[in-house]
Amino acid sequence: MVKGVSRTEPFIVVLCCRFAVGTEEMGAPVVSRGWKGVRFVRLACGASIHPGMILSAIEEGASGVLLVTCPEDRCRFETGSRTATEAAVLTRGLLQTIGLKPERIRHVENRHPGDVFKAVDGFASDLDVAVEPMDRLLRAFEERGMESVR
Amino acid sequence: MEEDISYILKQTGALACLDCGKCTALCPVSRYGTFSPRLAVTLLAGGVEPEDGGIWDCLTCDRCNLECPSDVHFSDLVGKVRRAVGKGEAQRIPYAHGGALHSLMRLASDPAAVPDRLSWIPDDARIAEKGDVLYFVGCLPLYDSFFEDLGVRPLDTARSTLRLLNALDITPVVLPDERCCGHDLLWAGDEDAFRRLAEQNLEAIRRSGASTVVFSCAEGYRTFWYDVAERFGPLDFHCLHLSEFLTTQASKPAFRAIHKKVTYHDPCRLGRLADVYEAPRTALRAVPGLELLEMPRSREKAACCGTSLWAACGAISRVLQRERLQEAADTGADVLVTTCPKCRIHFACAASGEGSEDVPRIPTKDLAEILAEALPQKER
Repeated sequence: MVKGVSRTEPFIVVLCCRFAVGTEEMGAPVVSRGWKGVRFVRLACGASIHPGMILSAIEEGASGVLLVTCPEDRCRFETGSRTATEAAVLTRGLLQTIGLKPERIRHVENRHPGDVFKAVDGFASDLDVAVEPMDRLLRAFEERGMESVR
Repeated sequence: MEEDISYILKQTGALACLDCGKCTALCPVSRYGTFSPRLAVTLLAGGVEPEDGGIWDCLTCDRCNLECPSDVHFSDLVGKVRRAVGKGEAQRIPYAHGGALHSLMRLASDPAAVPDRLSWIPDDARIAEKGDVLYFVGCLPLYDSFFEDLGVRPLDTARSTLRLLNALDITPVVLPDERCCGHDLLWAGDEDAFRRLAEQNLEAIRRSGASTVVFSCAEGYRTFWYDVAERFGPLDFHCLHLSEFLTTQASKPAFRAIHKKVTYHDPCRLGRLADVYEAPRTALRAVPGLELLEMPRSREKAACCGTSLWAACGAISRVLQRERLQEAADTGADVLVTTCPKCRIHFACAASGEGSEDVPRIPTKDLAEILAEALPQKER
């Protein structure tokens, strides 16, 4: 079996800055339990994202890799969002060269709580990856007085 | 795996090691680190875990093999041991660049990935779908994107190669679905992925009807000429490095004069590992006005650029790269010419970034680029 293609369970890897709005409130364990087909990897900062990390996720069978960072003007380490953007652009080009779909990589800047969920939903829908309903997560959000994403 | 290692030690003649230390004296890594080829042999023979025996420290530059009185082929031994280890669990490969390039090569070995790699071809270049001569581009498109910040522009080598072939009135086949040659995966021990790549490339070459495959890349040439042929041979086509191809042509490109001094760096894969020393020099001498100056360590004794297969790149690599650039600059050459995109990338890397202020800034060019520069204006 060649990794990255002959997978039986499509999934999305979310490489997520730990400071991105919303994701720090929920915590990775809750998020990973609430969503089937999504694997969250929390990072110290978006600046630690590099093509090797994205490609290894695809090699391990991910249908897509979503990079979630803070907006550029809110990055506390200044370069996080920019680094993630560069990594996404470069890796998309490399994937295209070897004959894989560049759409498998997406970068979003998380400006509001809940943006990450919209982003995962949209990405899953575009990639045609089944993602379990997020009701439990949404309830948790609402209980904390945060804006609902639906 | 222990049986595998014992067999490899016998097969490569390593058990005949006299412990004389010539290899260690010649090894570029041994000069600055604790690694020693003869010690690695002793450790492997003693049953030490291969990864603790230093198999990832070796550059596989083949420098030690030339002087070994027992004819131990150490690079071959290292390659085989890495492949034996690779058969088992994941290896602790000290990847450079986060392993991105190895991941790409493994992903590219997937038959479901259908590359379309012709976007770099200039509008005025002539290429064919089928024909007698095929140009194997290799990983240049990947390196061009990945190392854009270094300013090396590896795809210029491919464009120059096409111009040279077109100037000879040859319309080469360039495969839209060509894949990586697998060199790095093979030397990293991933025999399976290497075979997948080779099988698909061989099939694509067969479909093109080519009887000669031309390589501008030293690694691609060595990989097909030796490693692919060893596993799948005899091949249905001749493998020729661009420099060899040019020297075998009855008609030569009409080069205009270029008044420059150049020095030629023999890449390990084209020199010691494929025995091609003279052809690149002959090609350079064919350009009027080009003065070829040799570095003290050239041909069989050429220094390695300090890193191989996008792994084990560190402080020692940087020292070796600085030394080589200094050696090139000391010849008084204006340009360092080579035939390996990786060597050029490593040299450019050594001369960039923090701490590189004292590294000689000698421009590097691929052989194809400098030859294409010498083509008359209308053919460039």
